[in-house]
Amino acid sequence: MPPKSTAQRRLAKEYQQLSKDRPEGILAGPVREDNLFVWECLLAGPPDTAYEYGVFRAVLTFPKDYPLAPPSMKFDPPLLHPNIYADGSVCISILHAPGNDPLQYERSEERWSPVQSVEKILLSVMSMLAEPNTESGANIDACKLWRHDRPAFERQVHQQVRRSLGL
Amino acid sequence: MSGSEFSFSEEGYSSFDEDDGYQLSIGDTDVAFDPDASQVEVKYSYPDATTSTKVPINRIKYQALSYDDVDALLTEKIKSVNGILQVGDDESMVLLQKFNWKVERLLEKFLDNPIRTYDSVGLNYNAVRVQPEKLIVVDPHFFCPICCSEGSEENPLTTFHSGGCDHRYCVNCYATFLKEKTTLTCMDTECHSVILPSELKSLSDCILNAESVLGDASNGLAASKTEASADFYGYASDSATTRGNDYSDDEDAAELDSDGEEIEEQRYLVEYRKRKLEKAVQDKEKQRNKSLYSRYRSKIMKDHVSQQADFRLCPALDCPGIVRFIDFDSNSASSGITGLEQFANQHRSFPIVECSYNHFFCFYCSKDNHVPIPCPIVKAWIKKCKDDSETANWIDNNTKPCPQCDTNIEKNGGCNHMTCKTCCHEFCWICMGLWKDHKDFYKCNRYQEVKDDSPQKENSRRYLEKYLFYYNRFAAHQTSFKKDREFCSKLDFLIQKVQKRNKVSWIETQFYEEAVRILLKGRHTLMWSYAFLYYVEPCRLKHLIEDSQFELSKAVESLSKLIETVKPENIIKYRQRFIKESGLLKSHKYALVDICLDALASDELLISIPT
Repeated sequence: MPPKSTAQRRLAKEYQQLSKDRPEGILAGPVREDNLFVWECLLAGPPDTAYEYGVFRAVLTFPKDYPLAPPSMKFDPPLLHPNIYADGSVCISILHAPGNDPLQYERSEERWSPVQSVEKILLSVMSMLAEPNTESGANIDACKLWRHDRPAFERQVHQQVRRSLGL
Repeated sequence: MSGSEFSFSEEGYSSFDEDDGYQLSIGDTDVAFDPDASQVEVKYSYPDATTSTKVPINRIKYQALSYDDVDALLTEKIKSVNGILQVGDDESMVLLQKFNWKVERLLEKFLDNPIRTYDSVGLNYNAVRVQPEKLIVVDPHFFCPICCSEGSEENPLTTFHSGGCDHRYCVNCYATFLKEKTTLTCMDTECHSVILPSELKSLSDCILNAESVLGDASNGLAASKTEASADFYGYASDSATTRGNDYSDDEDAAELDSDGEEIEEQRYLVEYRKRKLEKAVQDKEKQRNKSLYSRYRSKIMKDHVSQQADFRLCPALDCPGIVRFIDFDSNSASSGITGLEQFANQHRSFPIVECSYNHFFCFYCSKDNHVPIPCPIVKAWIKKCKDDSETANWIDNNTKPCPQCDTNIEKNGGCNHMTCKTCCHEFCWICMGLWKDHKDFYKCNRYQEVKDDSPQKENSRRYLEKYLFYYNRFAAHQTSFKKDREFCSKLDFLIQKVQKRNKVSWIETQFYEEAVRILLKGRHTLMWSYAFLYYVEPCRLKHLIEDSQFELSKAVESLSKLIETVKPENIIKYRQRFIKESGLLKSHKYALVDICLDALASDELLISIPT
C-alpha cells in the first residue's frame, strides 16, 4: 500500500534514508509497518561519558501534521539526565516549535523546523547526553546531582547502563 | 471617593439613543486632532445612558475605527517612515515590526548602523532582492524535501523561495509553514532571510489561483456564491452610509408627526439593516481570513494596534473593531486627570466605549460594559473571583440539588423560577427558597449582615459566606446571561418561523427581539450590581440600592419567564405583555443605574476595597 498523507510520505522517505545511510550509534524505525507515526529507536551512550556502553531505548511519536510540528521523544525506561523528565520525556530545543518560548531562551536556528529530520533529532539527543544543559533543566534532582555530586550522579547512571544491557 | 468638585457642563454631554446605541455628539467635536482620521466621528464614552441623575460623569473622547481605517493608518505610518529611510515600504514595515512599531527607536538604530539593523531582521543591506514575481518557479524536476513530493514533466511542482536566499520548497509546504506566523522567514533554520510582504502576496496569489482553478473544475457554484455575497455586501454598506440620514429623518419626523406607528416602523427598519450590516461585516472578516496574505496583514495590524497605548481592540469574539482614545472631556481635565489609570480610578469615571460594530466595552479594563460599577471595583471583584476559584469550583454552578428531593437540576434557560421535574417542587434558583413565598415578602436579593458578636475565628468564615452570597448571585446571573445570549443568537431564525406561521411582517415581530435584548441588558446590569454591593458597607444608601435591585430582579425574572414560557408561535397574542414588561424592566434598570451613580457621588457611601 503506498503512503497517503504528506506526513506518511515524508516518514517513509526518512526511514528509507536512515536505513540506507545509518549514522553511528543510532538505530531507528517504525514499530509497525502499518503505522509510521510511532518509531522505536536505540541510542548508544556516547563514549567518555557516564552513559558509555549503554544502549537506550526511546519512542518517537509523530503528530499528524509532521513535518510542520515536531515529534515527541520519550526514553523507556526513563534515563537519569538533567534534560530528561522523570517520566523519560526529552526536553531539547530541536523538539520545540519556534514561537512557544516567550523568553527567547533558545535560538531560532536550534528549534524545530520542517527542514529538520529524525536523524538530526537523534544526533542532537546524542550530543545532549554528552553535554547536558543545566541552565534549563527538566529534571531538577538530576541537575542538582550533576552539579554538586558528580560521582553519585555517575554511579546512578552506571546502574541504568548495566540495566539497559540486561546485566 | 475623590472630594473634588465637579461642575456639570453641557459641553461634556451627548445625546443618546439607547435603543440602538447610536449617538450624536453635541458640543465640541474636536476632529482636528488627527488629519488622517478626521472623517471618523469623535464620540464620548459611557453611551448607554438615559440617566436622569445630575451627577457629573467623567468621560473620554474617542473614535470608533473600522479595520480599513486602521489599515490606512498603518499604511500611512509605513509610508512616513519610508519617507525618512528611503528603503522601500516593505522593508520599512519589517523593520518597524521588529522595533515594536516604535518609530524613534528604529530611526535611532538605523541611522547609527543601517547594516546591522538590516541584519537583525534578516535583510541584507547590500544585496539586491529578487523581484516578487520571479520567486514562483514551476519546475518539473523539483523534489520538495518537506513533503517528499516529486515533480514530473506532466505534473511539475510550483516552488517558492524568499527574495534574499535560494532555499526552494513547494508552494503548499511554504504556505502551510507561513500560515500562523507574523515574522516571516525562510524555512531553513540556518538561513535568516526574511520574506517581505510583497513576496508573501505573490505566494498567496499563486495559491489562490491554484485553488480557483480547482474550484472551477469541480463546480462553478462556489464562484456564483461569492458573487452573491459580494452583492449582498454592497447593499449592506449602502445602508450603512444612509443610516445616519435615516436616523435624522426619523428624529425630524418625531417632532413633526404624531403618528407613532410609522416612526416605529422606520426605527425598526434601521435596526434591521444594522443587524444585516453586522452580519456582512462578519462575512467580510471570514473572507479576510481566507487568503494567506490578508490573514498576515490582519495579524500585523492587530500586532501594531496592541503596541499602541491609545488604541484598543474590541474584546468581542472575532470583532475587527478598534477604538482610539483621543482626550479626556472637560470635566476630567478640570479635575486634573492626565492619565488613563488615574481616570479609571475615579469612582465616577466610565470609559465605556462602543466599537464600530456596536459592542460596548471598557476602554481601561477591556471588559464588557460594567456600568454602574467603577473600574477599581470590577478589578477587585475579578481578582477575588479568580483567587477564590477553588472555592468557586466547590460551588457547582451548573447543577443544584432540588431542596425537596435532592435531584440534581441543571438550568437550561435564563428564568430562575424552577420546577423540579421529579417532585414538582417550585423554588427560586437563586435563594433556593419556596417560589410561592417569593412574590411579595421574601426578598432574596438582600444580604443579611450578621451582628458581630461571635468570636474572632468565626470572622473568616463569615467573610467567605458573604462573598459566596454575592458570588452565587453574580454567577447565577452570569450563567443566565450566557444562556439568554445563546437564545439571542438563534433569534433571527425563530422570528422568521413566527413570521411564516402567523403570516405577519417582520416589523410586527420586532417587539419580541427588542424584549430579549432589553432582558439581556437588564440582566447584565443586575449581575454587576451584586459585585458592586459586595464592596459597599451597610448604610442607608446600600438599602436604597438593594430596593432598586430587588425591583429590577423582579422585572428581569418576570420577563425572562415570559420569554421562556410563551412559545414563539404564540408571541403575537402576548404582544402587549411583552411590550409592557420590557418597558418596565428598562425603567427599573435605569433607576438602578441612577441610584448607583448618585450613591457613588455621595460621601455617605462607604466602599471598602482591600488593597
